[in-house]
Amino acid sequence: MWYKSLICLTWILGLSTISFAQQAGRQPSVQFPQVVQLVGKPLPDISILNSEGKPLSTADLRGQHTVLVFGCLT
Amino acid sequence: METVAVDYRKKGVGFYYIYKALAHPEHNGYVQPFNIQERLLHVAEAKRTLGSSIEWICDNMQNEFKQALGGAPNSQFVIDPDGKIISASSWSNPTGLRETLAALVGEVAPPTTIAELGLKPLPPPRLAATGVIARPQMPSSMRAILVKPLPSLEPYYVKLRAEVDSGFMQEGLGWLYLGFHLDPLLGVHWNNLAPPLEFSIETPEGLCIASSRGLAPVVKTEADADPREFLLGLEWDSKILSRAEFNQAELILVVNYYACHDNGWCKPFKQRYHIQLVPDRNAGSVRSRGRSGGGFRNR
Repeated sequence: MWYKSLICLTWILGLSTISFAQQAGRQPSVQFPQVVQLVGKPLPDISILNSEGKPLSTADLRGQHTVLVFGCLT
Repeated sequence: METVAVDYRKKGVGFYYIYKALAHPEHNGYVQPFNIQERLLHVAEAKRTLGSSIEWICDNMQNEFKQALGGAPNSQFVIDPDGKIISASSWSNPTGLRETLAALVGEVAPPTTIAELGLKPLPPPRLAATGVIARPQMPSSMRAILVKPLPSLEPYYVKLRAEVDSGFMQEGLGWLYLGFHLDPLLGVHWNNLAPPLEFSIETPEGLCIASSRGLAPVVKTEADADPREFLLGLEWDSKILSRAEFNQAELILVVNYYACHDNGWCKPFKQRYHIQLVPDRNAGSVRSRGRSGGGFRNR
């Protein structure tokens, strides 16, 4: 049974990758100063897709306060 | 992030995850998609595995949205109703985000806890056996280069990743890595009852490669999911191929392989690539390469 626990632990660790940086006080050492410098600037107008593959513009994200978080499977 | 989203949607705040290129290909077996349809498969997989309530949107294949917003892999932004960026972080930080949103639209108390959400994340796809083929010892400081799959009637069930080492980029003498990786989202495995993967590669004059052909090892198990990897010496003669020509140079690779789908079919494939010796900023970096497979991938 020990290996099932190991598998489970590995799985949990794997799933937590996307939120690794979200732990308070555990910010990665690599910083991107160009990101912070974007404050005060308008969101660039770029063609993207919704999750069903339909075209969307970043301008469609206006109209309310909106949180955007970049991520991926790994 | 999930708890922040649950709490602040009630106050009219929208939440989106933006899917872009993989930061660390090979983790859990995932590889970079070659087209937008395959990236949408990644989005569906992210929704499935994370069990998140946050809506995903998908950056284009040029990753223009990510690059326009600073190029960080896990950055976080708050925009106001007029589309102005009012908060930006290099890395996602839900604690800081909660404070920012409290200042903008008011505090939510008590905050929702993760346990209250009952999220149901699911594991990555099960793969065929891994750890069957020893992986090459890689030189340090490898860098991914541009790989362009040429039009194919069939999906690229096996995807090429190409890298060169810093020695080659700086001095014109070094290593070319060619890795042929199964795409776990396309549901295939190697058919080891058929001949192993083989490739041929053509280089322009002035670029000398140690071997213009490669043949993967014969594997005794019927099926596996290990990458087929090759490390080839590569030398650039700048007297024959100028820097400008080097930057435009294309290596032409043709690969033949046999794969079987988990649904039962087995087929031969012949697919072609152009490789350019220029860095690919969207290729991500591979972690833990060279170690044998482990964890749940070997179930």
